[in-house]
Amino acid sequence: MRRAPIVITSTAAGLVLVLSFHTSRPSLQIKSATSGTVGGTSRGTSGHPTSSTSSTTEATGTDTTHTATGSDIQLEVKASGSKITNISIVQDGSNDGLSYQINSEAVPILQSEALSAQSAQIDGVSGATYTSAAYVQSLQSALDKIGIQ
Amino acid sequence: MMDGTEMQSIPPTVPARRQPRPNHRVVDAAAVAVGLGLGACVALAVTAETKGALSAPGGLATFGGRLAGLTGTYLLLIMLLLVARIPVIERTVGQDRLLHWHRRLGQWPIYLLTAHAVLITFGYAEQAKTGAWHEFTILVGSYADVLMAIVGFGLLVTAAVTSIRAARRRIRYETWWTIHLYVYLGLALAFSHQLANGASFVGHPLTRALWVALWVATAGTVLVFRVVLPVARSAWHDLRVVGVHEEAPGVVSIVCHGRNVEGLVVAGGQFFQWRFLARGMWWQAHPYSLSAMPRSPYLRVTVKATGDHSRRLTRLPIGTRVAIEGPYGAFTRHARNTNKVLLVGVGVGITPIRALLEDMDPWVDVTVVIRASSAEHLIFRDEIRSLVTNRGGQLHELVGSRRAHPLDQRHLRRLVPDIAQRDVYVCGPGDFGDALVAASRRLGVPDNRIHREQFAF
Repeated sequence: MRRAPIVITSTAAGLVLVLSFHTSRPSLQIKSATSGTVGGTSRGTSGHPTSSTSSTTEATGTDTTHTATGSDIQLEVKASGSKITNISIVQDGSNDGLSYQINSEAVPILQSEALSAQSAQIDGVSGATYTSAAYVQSLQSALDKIGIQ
Repeated sequence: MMDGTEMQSIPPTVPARRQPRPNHRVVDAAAVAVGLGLGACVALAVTAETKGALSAPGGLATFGGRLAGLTGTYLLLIMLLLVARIPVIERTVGQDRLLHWHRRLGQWPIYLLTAHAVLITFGYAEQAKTGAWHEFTILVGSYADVLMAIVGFGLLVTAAVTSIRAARRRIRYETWWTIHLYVYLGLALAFSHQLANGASFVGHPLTRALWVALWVATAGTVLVFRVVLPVARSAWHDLRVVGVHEEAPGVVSIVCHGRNVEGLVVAGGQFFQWRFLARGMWWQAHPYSLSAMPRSPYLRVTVKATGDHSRRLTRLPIGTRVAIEGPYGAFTRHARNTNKVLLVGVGVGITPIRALLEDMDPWVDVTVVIRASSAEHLIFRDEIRSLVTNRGGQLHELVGSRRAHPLDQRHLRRLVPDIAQRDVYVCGPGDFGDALVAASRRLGVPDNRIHREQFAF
């Protein structure tokens, strides 16, 4: 009972130390070279190229790819003629707190890169290796299905 | 100064309308809920996986780690609830049995949470194609609140290790109790990393909400029944010591005066945790049985001076305020299954027997056996004799050591020939109680008719 003040103060001090510990992760940047490792297998669903008499064709392709972390990335690509008009994410492959955080930042970066490059030949995002690899692979498969590039 | 005999001249308080009756259906329902909850935790772990995830590198280890984490945490919360002193559960099962279950359950959450830490580290390491130690540093450095969880886990393990019988014998009760209190802090520290990182919770608002609800419900239950209710009850009854009286050498009765004592819902044989708010005593609470039914506005407890604290009670200043917690205990007239009872009290164990005798339903046939090493230690001899005479029961007063009156199978059969038709209530030192229970069983008393009050928890 005499030691109570010591015990209480050291508990408080320990708590302050532990609670003030900050986790960090490197900020995401566009890499200069695309990562070569692809960690998943591709499982595709069929695309629907529509043939029509008009000069522009509208096509939609979807693809699902396993990420190396075991969850699925699923993209839907919309193209008009040979121009990619939209890439939407159906599933972004997050399955835990860290990937959730990473993917919410990395995916928009990959998206804008792909739209401006109009292909799947894009630089990955460093700090989001698996997401980038799976995204690129998924995008390429979807584009192949609708016959672009 | 008020003493026991003065108090006894007051007529007993009319029993309160609400009685602390055991409710086995509620306890059964609680057991079912606990089982369902455990199943739900396993289901949470399973549904967080996809077939691809399990076959990916590190997938199986990560799944095992998640399963271990969910179930280990759930069992910890159940352990908290077991000792939360929920009134309906406590008066049906009894605090000693609840503590026994708490102790037996104790090691499993520790094993499961250790497995959780190891499996998650190795699983993530395999998936990231890196070494386990490197992955560990990533977990601590990049994943939210993991360091807090590790510190919390350390506190849990310390509390568990110091509770092993071999360790407990070596450390003082106060030290053990303080270390054990850190379990609350450990659990609080570990909570946030579950929601921030758990695969079952990230991006799944419904399971998140359910998990949070489980924690809030547990915390709320503990807070209400271990803090709020006792504090409120103590303030409401405003008990103060008005008499300290020696019943026998080393045995003292303390009479307290309170407000609204007739509203105290207590059965004979029950006990309270008593906290005497005097210098050097206010930070300890000890369980003592009432040695008589309440006689508004008075309550009486009788204590044997064995340790530092109980010895101090003999010099308790009149007017000392008292905080109580309870009433607790399943050792009541409600526990009986027949209309004939045998009450056995040895030494200071006579205390709850005396209260139980007074509270026993009038149509019940009672046989009372009390034993003490000397005549002066046969406390409440006169009170018990007059209670038994007034209701036409049988009384056996045994003076002498265990050798003189062994209360073994042969002796019991002679004293109480129809013991097999009675409910047997036993109170006394541990080894005596064990022997008597064994003897009763051999004489044909079924387990559900043997009731014990154990002072040493």
